[in-house]
Amino acid sequence: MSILSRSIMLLSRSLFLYGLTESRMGSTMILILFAIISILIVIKNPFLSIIPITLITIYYILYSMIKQLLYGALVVAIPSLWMSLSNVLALYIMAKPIDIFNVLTIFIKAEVGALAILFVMHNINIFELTYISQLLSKKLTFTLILLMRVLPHFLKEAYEMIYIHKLKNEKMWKTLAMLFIRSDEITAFFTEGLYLKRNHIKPKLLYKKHTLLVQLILIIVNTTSFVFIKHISY
Amino acid sequence: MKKQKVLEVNDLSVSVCSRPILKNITFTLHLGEALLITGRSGCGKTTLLRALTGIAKELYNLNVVGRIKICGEKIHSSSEASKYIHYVVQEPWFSISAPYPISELFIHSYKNQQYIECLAKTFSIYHKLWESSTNLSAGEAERIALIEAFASDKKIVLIDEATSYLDKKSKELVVDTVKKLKEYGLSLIIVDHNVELWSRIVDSILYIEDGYAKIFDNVYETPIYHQLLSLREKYRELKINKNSKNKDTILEVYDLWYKYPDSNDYIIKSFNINVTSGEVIWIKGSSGSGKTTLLKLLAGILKPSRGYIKRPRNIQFIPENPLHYISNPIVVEELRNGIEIAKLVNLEGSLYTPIAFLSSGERRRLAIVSAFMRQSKLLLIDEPTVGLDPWNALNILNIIHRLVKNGSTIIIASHSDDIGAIATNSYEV
Repeated sequence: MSILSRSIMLLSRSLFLYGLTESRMGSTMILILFAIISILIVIKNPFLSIIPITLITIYYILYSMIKQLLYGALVVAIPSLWMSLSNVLALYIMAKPIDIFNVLTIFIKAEVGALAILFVMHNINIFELTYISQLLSKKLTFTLILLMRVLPHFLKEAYEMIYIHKLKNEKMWKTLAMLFIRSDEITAFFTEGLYLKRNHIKPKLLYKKHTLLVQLILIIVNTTSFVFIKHISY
Repeated sequence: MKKQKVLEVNDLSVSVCSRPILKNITFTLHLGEALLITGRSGCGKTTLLRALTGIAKELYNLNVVGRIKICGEKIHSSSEASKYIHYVVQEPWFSISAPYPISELFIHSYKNQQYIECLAKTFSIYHKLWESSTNLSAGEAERIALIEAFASDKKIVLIDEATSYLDKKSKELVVDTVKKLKEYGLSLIIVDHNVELWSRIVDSILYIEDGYAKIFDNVYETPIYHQLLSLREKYRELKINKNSKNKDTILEVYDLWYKYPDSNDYIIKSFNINVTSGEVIWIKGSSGSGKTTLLKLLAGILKPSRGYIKRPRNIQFIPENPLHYISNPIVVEELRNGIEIAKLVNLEGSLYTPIAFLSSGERRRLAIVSAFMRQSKLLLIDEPTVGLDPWNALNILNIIHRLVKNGSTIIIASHSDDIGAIATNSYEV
């Protein structure tokens, strides 16, 4: 198995198939705020993205998820590299001078931005998400939890189907067509299985104090850094 | 003391486009009682559950006539039924809406975390509470769905074919769970062919035949019990003779090890096997023991961490869900116009039927024969009888028996003891 396919396998497993780890018992809202501030720091000064990256790394180490971060960084490096190289290509076509510093900036912005989003996705607290969404609409709450439930289920089945059809030497479009048939079936099965429950959803909040505390420290350090950077740049 | 009536069903009839499925079904269920609904496949057992929940009318547009009363309240719709009924479908993972079991139990009840954890400990499923729902085995999903009924204070639990996907140990665990729920005062309606399994729990049996229902007090008096006994005789007739003379080696595996990239433990440890032509190898083991992983390694889908596999080219792998194997929208296309081969598995009448409309048994037959067409040398089949009733399971074993006679070599991973009827050799993982 190539390092890339290993990385994709591990990343998708960690996103969708890992359980409700302690790292997922903090606040999603704090994490979203953290990601926004991290992106703002990167926009302001890409080379100071070392601060949010260090904070993210500490979080992953603290919850024994460093492997996920490394593989995640490797996977998101592909689109980041593509973005920076397409910039080089564009400059080359337009016969303009290529600025290595600019190319590096694009890469860092894309990489850190993607890692910050991945960080949020890895650590979503389902309880908080459903609790907030029910304030807007109960249907939205059901849709959200169902999405988080159905997506990994479908991905797991899709992986299997793709591999098996590869053994059969089938064309990709045939696999896609069968995936559509299966997704229809999965929808029908979930509809029947959950039909009676649809009106009885009662979201409640559930946190772990330790995780909340760590996330609060992270956001305080990140915000302070951002304010400091802003102050310096004036 | 007279027990409280929880469910009263009077003259319930269900039909589709004026074709009757169920006719004048009448029965009563008391508090803390368990009723077993049984009968041959297609007799209308699941339709009866759907009619009780309102799903038959609202999701399947079936015509439902008759009176249903729960705790004295007349039931006309699914939202009225949902106040009292918890419904666990045949594939239990489709009854779980949340990504983690703890969130499922927490979100669908008024109970707090301590209560849910305590409940999970009582039902011996605490260790799975924080895992991903997608990774639950069928037995674990079934038990989570069942204790959810208790956590959400429902009065009646409907369980459709609870054991069809389970190994022996999981079946016993599910039966124990149902027994505990009954002791806690829940009323249960269980649909299953395996009447013997439920004999120590159920109070009465509703046997359905030709749309009509008959009540029995003892599972051993039901016609299906005697039909299953005579079916066991047919399994004995399937035995394949092991003749090891002048056989070619088809597959060689030496010191095979495997672990997933994010795991520290090996799931396959030092596995060795030598398969010769015409053999039926049975890889046995309980759910989660690594049988499917082993088949994927043999097929070349996964690469071993250590060890050596010498395999023929173009191995075909049929997964647990046969739809994952099929790659064409209709039967005749999947079989590349092979009408003769369709006859081999009794699919000649369904040549132009869309795959989506085939039953699980038909899909499995199609997948097996389609794989045989593509590569007759070595077929790997994962759980070929899971989810099937005993008659369909026997059909599948008959087909495998016929393919072996036609020169195929087959490796089957299964927790079902039925495979023993055709296996020439077995390995435990």
